[in-house]
Amino acid sequence: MKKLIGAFLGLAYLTLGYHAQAATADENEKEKIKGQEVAVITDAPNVPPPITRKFATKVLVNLEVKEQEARLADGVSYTFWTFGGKVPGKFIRIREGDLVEFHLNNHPDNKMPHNIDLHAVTGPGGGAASSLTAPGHSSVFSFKALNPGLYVYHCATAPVAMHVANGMYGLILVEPKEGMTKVDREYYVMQGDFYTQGKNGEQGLQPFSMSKAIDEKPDYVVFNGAAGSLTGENALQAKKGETVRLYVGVGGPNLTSSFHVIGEIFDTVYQEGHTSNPVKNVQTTLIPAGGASYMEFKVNVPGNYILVDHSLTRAFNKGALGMLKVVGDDNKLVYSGKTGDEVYLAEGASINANPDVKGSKAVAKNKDDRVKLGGNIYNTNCAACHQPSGAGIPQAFPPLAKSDYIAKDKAKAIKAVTGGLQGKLVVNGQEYNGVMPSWSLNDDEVANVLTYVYNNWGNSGLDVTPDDVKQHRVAASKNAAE
Amino acid sequence: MIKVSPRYCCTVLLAVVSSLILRSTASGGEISFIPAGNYAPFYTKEGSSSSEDKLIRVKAFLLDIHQVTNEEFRQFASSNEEWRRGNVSKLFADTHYLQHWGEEGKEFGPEEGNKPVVNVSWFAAQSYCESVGKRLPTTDEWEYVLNDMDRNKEAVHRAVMDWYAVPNRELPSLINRPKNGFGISDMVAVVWEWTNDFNNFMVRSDARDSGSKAAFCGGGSLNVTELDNYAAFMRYSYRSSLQGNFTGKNLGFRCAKDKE
Repeated sequence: MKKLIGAFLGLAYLTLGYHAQAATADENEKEKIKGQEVAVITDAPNVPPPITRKFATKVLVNLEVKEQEARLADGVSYTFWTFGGKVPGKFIRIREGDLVEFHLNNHPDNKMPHNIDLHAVTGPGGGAASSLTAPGHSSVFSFKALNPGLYVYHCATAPVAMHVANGMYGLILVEPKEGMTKVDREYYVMQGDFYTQGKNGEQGLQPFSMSKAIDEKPDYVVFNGAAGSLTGENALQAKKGETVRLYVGVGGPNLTSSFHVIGEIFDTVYQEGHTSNPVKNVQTTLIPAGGASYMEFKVNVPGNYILVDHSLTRAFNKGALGMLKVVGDDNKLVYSGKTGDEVYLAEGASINANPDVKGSKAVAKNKDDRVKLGGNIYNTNCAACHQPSGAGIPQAFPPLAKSDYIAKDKAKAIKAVTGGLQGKLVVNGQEYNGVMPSWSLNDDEVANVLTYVYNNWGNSGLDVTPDDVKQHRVAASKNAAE
Repeated sequence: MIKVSPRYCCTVLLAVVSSLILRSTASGGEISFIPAGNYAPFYTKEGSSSSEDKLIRVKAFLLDIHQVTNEEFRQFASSNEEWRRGNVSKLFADTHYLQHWGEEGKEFGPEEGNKPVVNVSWFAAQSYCESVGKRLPTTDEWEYVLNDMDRNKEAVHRAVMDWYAVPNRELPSLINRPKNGFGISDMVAVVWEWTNDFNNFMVRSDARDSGSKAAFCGGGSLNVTELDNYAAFMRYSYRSSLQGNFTGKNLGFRCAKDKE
C-alpha cells in the first residue's frame, strides 16, 4: 500500500516540504533514536510549534488527568474529566519514528481511575492496556510512532462512553518525516457531545445523564468543551492573505461532525488525518467520532467566518459554533459586499403580512375616512409595484389608474387583493402575465385601500365597504386571472 | 434484573426486621446482621446461561454499619506502631498513606474524627479489621449489601451519579446517617471502599478487551448483566485500578465478620 502511494507522489510533492520518499512503518520501527526532549503540549485552540529536527528522538509526554467543574454554557457548569485540565486534552506533537515515553498522572483528588488509548499507538488498546491508573498514581509506558497522521486519543476506562462524554479526548499529531508545509496559523478544534440531566440552558451544575447518552440525545454539541469557547473574544484570528491550518477532531462519544466553515472553501483537506494525498476544494468534510482531519485554506477576504457542524441544529441550538476573525483591507475583487437592495416579488402567490397595517386600530366610519386610511395602506403595500401614481409599470405591473379591469367591478378588485392573481391578464388593452401575491389584510383594510384606489387618479369613485369585502373575499391562491 | 419471588421477599423482610444491631466489644464500629440471600452480580460466571445460574448466593454475615472513622483508625495506629505514618513500609502503603491527617503527631478535631478514614491501603484496612476481630467483606458480600434486594434502586443509582458529578466534596461525619434496607449506611456516594478480593475480578486495564473471561469489550461487556449500570462499571474499574499498597483520598473501608 505504501508503495502505491509513490504513484501519487507528484501530488504529494506539492504539499510536503521535502521531497523524500514516505517512510514505511517498518523503517520507522528501526529508526535510531537520538537524544531526548520533553514534549511541548498545548491547550486548545493552540498547537505546539512544528517539529524542525530531522531525526527521531525520545519524547517525554507528561499528561495529568483532572476531574473538575467548569463552564459548559452560560450559567451552566459541568464536571469535566480532562487530560490536562481542559477539554479537549492537550495537543501532543511528535515526529514519525519518535519513541514516546508517556507518563499518565491521575490527580489524587480524582474519584476515578483513568487510562489512555492513543490511536497513534500500535499495540494492545493503544496504550490503554498499560495505563489504567488509580487516583493519586502515575503510569508509564512507551511506544514508537510508526505511522504519521493526526490521531485522537481518549480515555478507555469503563464505562468508556461516560469517560469520553465527560471530555476525555484530545489530538496527537505524528508529523511525517518530510515535515509539513509552512502555514501562517495553526489551530486546534475538537467537537464533543454532552449529556446533562437538565435541558439545554438549564442553569447550575448539571450532572451527566446516562440515559440521554445511551439514547444519543445530547443537550450540548460544542467545540472545545464549552459553548462560546471559540466566539467573541475567543474567536480564532487570522490576517487577510494568510494560510490557516485547522486540526479538527471529534471526541464524540457519539456524534460525527459535518465540519464546515461558513464562507470558506477548504483548499486542502487531509481526510481522516492522513498526511498524504489530500483532497482539494472541499466545502464540508465529515469527521467520524474518534477521528480527525486537518485542512488548510487561504483567507482572502476579511470578515467573520463561522465554524459549524453543518448538522445545523447542533450549531444553532446546541452550541457547535466557532468563529474565525480575519482582519485586513476589503477585497472587492473576490467578494463585493452588498451592492444593491431591491424589492423582490417572489414567484407564486404568497401571503404578505404587513405588521404596520395589521397593528393599526383606526376604524373608518365613512367613505372619506376610508380614502384617508387607505392611502397609508396603498403606499406601504401597493405603491412599490403599481406606483404611487397608480400608473403601474408597462409590461410588468398593470395600472390601477383608469383601469378597465376593476373599473365597475368591486368584486374583481376584492378577489385580486385577498386571493392574489396570477396568469394572463389584459388591462386597458395591454397584456400582463405576472403574479400578484395575496395580502393578509383584514376586511376594513381591504375596504380602505380599494376605496382609496377607486377615488384617485380619475377612477370611478366607488365606495368599498367592509361588508363588500366580507362578501367577495377569497382564500389565497384561489384566484386566477380571467 | 433480579426477580425475587414474593415468598422469598417476605422471608428477607422478616430477616431485616429482626436483624440484630450489635455493639462490638473490642472497638470497631456498630455492626449489623445481613441475612443470607441471592443477588445477580454485575459480572456473571463464564458460560452461565440461565438466569438462575447467574445468581450468587451470599451467606449470612455481619457488616459494619458505617465506614471506619479517622478516630477509630487513630486508635489502631497508635497501638500498632508499624501502621503509624512514619513507620509504614512502602510495600504496604504508598506515600499518600493518611496524608489527610496533616503532619505526624498532629491531632484532628472531633469533627474530623467522625469522618471516614481515607488514604489507607488494603494491607492497612485488613490489619485494622483483624485487630478488632473482623475481616474485610468480600466483593460479593459488599455488592449484595449495596444491591439491597433492589430496594430504592433508582435513588441509589442517582446518588452515585451525583456523587461523581461533584469533585472534592467535603466528607460527611458518619453520625446519624440514613440506612438502607439492611440497616447499613453509605455503601456508596461517600467514599470508595476496599473489599477483600478487590482485584479478583477480571476487569481488564483496557476496558474494551474482549478476549478473556468476564472482560469488558467495546465499552460494554458480553458478561455484564446491566449494560446501563454505569455506576457499577465505575466501581469495578476503580477496584481493578488498585493494588494492595495503594491509598486514595476517596478510598476508605468497613469491616465484616462471619456469623458465629
